[in-house]
Amino acid sequence: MANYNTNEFRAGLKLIIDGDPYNIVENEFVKPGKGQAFNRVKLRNLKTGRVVDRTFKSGETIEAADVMDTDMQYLYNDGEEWHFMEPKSFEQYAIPKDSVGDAAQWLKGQEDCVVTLLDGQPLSVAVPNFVELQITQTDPGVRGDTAQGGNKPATLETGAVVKVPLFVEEGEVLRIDTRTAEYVSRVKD
Amino acid sequence: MNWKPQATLDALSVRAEVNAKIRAYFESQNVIEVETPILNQYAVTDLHIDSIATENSKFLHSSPEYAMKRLLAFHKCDIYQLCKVFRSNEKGSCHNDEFTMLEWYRVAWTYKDLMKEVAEIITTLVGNYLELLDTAYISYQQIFKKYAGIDVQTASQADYLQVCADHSFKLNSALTAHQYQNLVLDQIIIPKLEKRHMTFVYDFPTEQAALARLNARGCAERFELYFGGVELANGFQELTDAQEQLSRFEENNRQRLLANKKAIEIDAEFIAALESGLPESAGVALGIDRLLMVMLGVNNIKNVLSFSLN
Repeated sequence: MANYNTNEFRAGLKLIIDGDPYNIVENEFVKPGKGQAFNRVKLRNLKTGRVVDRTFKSGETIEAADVMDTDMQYLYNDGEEWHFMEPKSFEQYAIPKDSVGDAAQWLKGQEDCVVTLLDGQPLSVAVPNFVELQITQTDPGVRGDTAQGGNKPATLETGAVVKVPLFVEEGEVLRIDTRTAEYVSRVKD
Repeated sequence: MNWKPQATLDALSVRAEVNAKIRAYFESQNVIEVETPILNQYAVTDLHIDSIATENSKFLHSSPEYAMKRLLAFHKCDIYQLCKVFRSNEKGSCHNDEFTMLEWYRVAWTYKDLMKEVAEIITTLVGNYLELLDTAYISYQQIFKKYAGIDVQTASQADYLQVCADHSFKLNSALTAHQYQNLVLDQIIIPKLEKRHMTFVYDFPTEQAALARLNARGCAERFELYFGGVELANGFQELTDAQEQLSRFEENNRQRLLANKKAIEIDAEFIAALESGLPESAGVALGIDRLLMVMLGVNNIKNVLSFSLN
């Protein structure tokens, strides 16, 4: 099994700690002139997304996480599992609802996603930064409203709810930034 | 290709000014500037300092201490050196594997005299750059009590672990009491010190004596200076007993083996110099790059180095 020594630590390195996969966010080397050196590390749990602090004695070795980011296309879901396909091998992966998490609200089909695999098993899904989705329900805008000021909730075809300007109407297709869940613009045919 | 310098012209100028002032000061004090070899036959045995070896099994010095003490043993006069030193695998916002050290020795002085001289020199150097509020002198034991609520003479590992937990430190593995002391002082106590105070910590536990003499109170006559949130200097009442020095080196090597490090061939020329007689003296090493960081108010050592390896 591969291991990393603390002197190989750098942002982006993936480790197994207490059985969970982590990604190094920040690594700071500290050392008294004549004393023990330490690495103060910020780590992101790849399952939960939570960031934790951990202090390592320099020279410790830590198990490497066999984590791979793979491009996959989203196919469909059955409510329990979300199904993806690796386009080169046509191999399909079923990812449980919990692992897909918030990404699910942006997926309608055929989106190119990045699926993170740990030891070949899907761990998490990253959706494209921008998606285009149609509004299935929103209250009618008040006549005379223009671009400035005010917004209202709109339900999209995937079930996601985003805030949109008052002039936006039901049936329109919107461009959404998935990182912030914010409306960007209307998409015109 | 990023070929451009990391340091601004301002940072380079401040370094030049500091170097010039240091040389002027020591000249006025009749302390002789010396140069000792960077390339050496022996490495240091310190458990926590790894020397950089060259292709032909020589070593870049991690400090000019042993060679300077050989000069001291023979010529018995005050000397200083401003030089580059090298340490393997030390890279961080306050560490670079190559850095500039000012080291000097005062014959017949005590370490307490020397602390005062360090304070005077730094006051002169930083004068135009930042406001220095006060100089504090506090023993190792007192500083642990005051800032961590720990009695270093009686504290158990559980006590240190509690202090770490109270300060949101989660450790990946258990530490020895000595390692906890290193972590607590460096990462918990120093950040709490007023940055514009020079804080001298003196009388270290005997396990951290390094090359300092032990006194009758059971302390190592060693001091460190913290200023601007960083460790700036380390000084000793120099150990003059050759036998005691040799047994400390041997103990270092035992510790190295326990830590899965290689034992280091002991510097026989240094031990021989001590046998011939090192005058009673106090010596100190001061990190120039970190002093420049504090003066310029930057928090990465790269900002005061013209260039550094990635």
